[in-house]
Amino acid sequence: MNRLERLMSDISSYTEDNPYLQHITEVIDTVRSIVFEPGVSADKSPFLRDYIEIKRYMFAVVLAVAPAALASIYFYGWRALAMIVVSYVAGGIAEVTFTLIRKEEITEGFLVTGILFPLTLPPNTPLWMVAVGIIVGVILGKEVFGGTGYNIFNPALVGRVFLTTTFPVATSSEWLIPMTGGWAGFKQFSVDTVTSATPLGVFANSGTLAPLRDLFFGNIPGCLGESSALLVLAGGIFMILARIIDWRVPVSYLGSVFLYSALGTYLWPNQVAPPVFQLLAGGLLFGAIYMATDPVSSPTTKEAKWVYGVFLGVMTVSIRAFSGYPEGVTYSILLMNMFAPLFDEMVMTFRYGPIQKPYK
Amino acid sequence: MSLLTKKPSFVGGIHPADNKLTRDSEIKDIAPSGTLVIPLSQHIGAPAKPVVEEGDNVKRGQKIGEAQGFVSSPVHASSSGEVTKIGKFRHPSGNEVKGVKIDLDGEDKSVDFKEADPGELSTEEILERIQGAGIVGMGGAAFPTHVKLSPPEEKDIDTLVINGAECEPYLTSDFRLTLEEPEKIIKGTELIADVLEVDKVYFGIEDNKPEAAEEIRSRASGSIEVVELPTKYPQGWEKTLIQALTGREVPVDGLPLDIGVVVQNVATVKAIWDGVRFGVPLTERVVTATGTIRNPGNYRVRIGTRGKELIDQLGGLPEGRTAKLIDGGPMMGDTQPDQSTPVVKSTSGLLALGEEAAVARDSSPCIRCGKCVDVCPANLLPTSIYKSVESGDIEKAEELNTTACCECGSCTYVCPSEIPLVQWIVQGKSEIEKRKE
Repeated sequence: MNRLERLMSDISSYTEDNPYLQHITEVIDTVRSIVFEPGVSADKSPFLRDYIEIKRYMFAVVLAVAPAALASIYFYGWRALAMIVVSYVAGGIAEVTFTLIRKEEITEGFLVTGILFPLTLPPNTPLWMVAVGIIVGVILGKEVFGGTGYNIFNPALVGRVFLTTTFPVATSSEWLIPMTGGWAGFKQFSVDTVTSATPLGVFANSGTLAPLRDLFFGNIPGCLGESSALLVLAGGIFMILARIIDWRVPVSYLGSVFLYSALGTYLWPNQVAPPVFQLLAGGLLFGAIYMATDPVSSPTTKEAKWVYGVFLGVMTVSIRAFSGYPEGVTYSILLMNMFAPLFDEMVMTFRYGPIQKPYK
Repeated sequence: MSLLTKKPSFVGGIHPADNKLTRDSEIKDIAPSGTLVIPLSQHIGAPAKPVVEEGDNVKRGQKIGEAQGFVSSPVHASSSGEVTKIGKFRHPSGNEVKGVKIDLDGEDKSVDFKEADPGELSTEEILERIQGAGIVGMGGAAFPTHVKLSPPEEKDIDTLVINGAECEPYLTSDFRLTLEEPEKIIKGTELIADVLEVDKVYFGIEDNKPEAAEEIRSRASGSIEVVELPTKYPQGWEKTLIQALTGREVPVDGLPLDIGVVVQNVATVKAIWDGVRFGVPLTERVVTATGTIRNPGNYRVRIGTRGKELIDQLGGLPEGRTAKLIDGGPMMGDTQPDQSTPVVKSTSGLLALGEEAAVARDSSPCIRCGKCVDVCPANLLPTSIYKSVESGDIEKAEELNTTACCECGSCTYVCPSEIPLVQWIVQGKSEIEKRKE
């Protein structure tokens, strides 16, 4: 035990005994467990554990999204970082408050929600709105269901939808044009070149397609995290290789978008954009990699993951092409979150039903 | 390995670091000394009834416990000395069972063993000699071997599987035995293949032990098909091994017998040959002593030798480095509260783990990631079983085939939330049992 570790352990045992301070013990223990990962010796077999445990799991997601977060600063200035910080602080207060009320440990899942949420917002979202959104996401998206592990919907997307419906003008009608070249956004706080539409919006209004090269590298208006398809993909590949997320959801989601839009653009060329544009534009990659793969709100079994992904793709392309919204990823994922338990039940009936029958 | 030449395997499983530190360590004898504690129940079935009294002098190989009924097995003294106590002793599995304590005289006198030519014995005589030698499954389950070799009339057995997989990390006792005594294993295999009148004999081994596979392959002259299976835990479980070798699936709540297969562990097969050919009862076995124990290796240890005796002869445990002493391997072994428990017929290893290896972190809520579902070799839903047992819904747990669990611990190994899933499932199994009664 090093000095800091001993100090934290002392503080924790002091607060535990103190009638006024005992409520914050859980908070201290949580910080302690994140930093030092104390373990007790197991009583029963198995005595071995895989390297992936929940803290590494959550940190790996944060690490995977870090390049996209850094890129958002490059494209839109330090204000992007301010949005992330506000999200962490406001959401953290909501999380800790509930921890104190429930007397449970803080769960690491918040580290993920806290960074994913601001990355789904337009770069000029007012900071107070970021705070409101994350608080609503944490409370209505997660805590009311009983906390981490029990929520039906992805908390970050609950916050996002709350903002979209409550403040439609601020969160979906005004976009900024990203800076590129040299140090770009790293040299300034914010960007002020305003435009009215994202590539998906432009297509919906005029049928014009943005150049694929810009979509891939990031020179397009949009939400903070979705600018660069390249960096989002890199994060996804990292998480798949590190066995953090299952490849089935992104592959089936993106695959079904590709196939459906290939067919759709042939049948209804004015409404359905071509497949590669669909894949790279808007929040699809970001959603397919970081949101649809959220273990809590997505299906558990492999087979159900395939079904879930295919339905997500169909929903997303349909909303983009045939509804009033140019973007459909958020709504698709939230809608399919509701069906995730049903898909699992169906798989259980098919896959696990037959083995219940006696042999011969 | 390309997709076309993919080795046969099973669905699920995990790849823990195999830590076979004692791989190259030749089997050495541990001389019996001090006292032995020999449990009268080292097998599944009725415990043996003591046939010696306190104060009696016994010799190695002398029967000290008589089998009670068909599904039972006799127990023999494993060295010579005086019986000083017949009473309750702690078995490595954690239960208190009746046992015989022998203070050794150090002379290791032995009874005369009656040799026989297996070729001239009838099937009944062979089975009698197997039961008489006290042979039980040495891979862990300790089911009396003569029972396994006497399938009911209506079961048509066509396949014999010899289990040399040894998928538990750290353990190397079966591997060394295969490498050092392949002739006995082959002879024993051929013997029981005749008893069972099977058409096909497989020898299943993981592909991290190619030398052992080659030993058997080069000597068996075609009577045994040696199959190297991918190194994956729990490849050595009966049901996964059968699935990999034959493609057949053992039904839930069924036995390999139900699909025409009998499985025997390599150490058991070797003991069968010793028992039938030479009349030597099962009084010793190879144990992998490993982990933080000094001089880790593979040792031929008398049944009844206590942990402390074995560890002391090897030079003891280093101060302050050992957190847990385990009978068996790290995935399925039983924790020992101290060094007083003896080596029994099913003890394949004695493992001492340091603090860093025996870690169990605090558990947090299930995040429904499904990793446990992916790795379960029994095709179960560990997370759903855990939730139903935790909430007391035993009916639901039964519907989820909880009883098909082999307790391999793969689900607990992968769980990122550190939920002791296998322990919940074991609890569910015992509650389902209770409901049936």
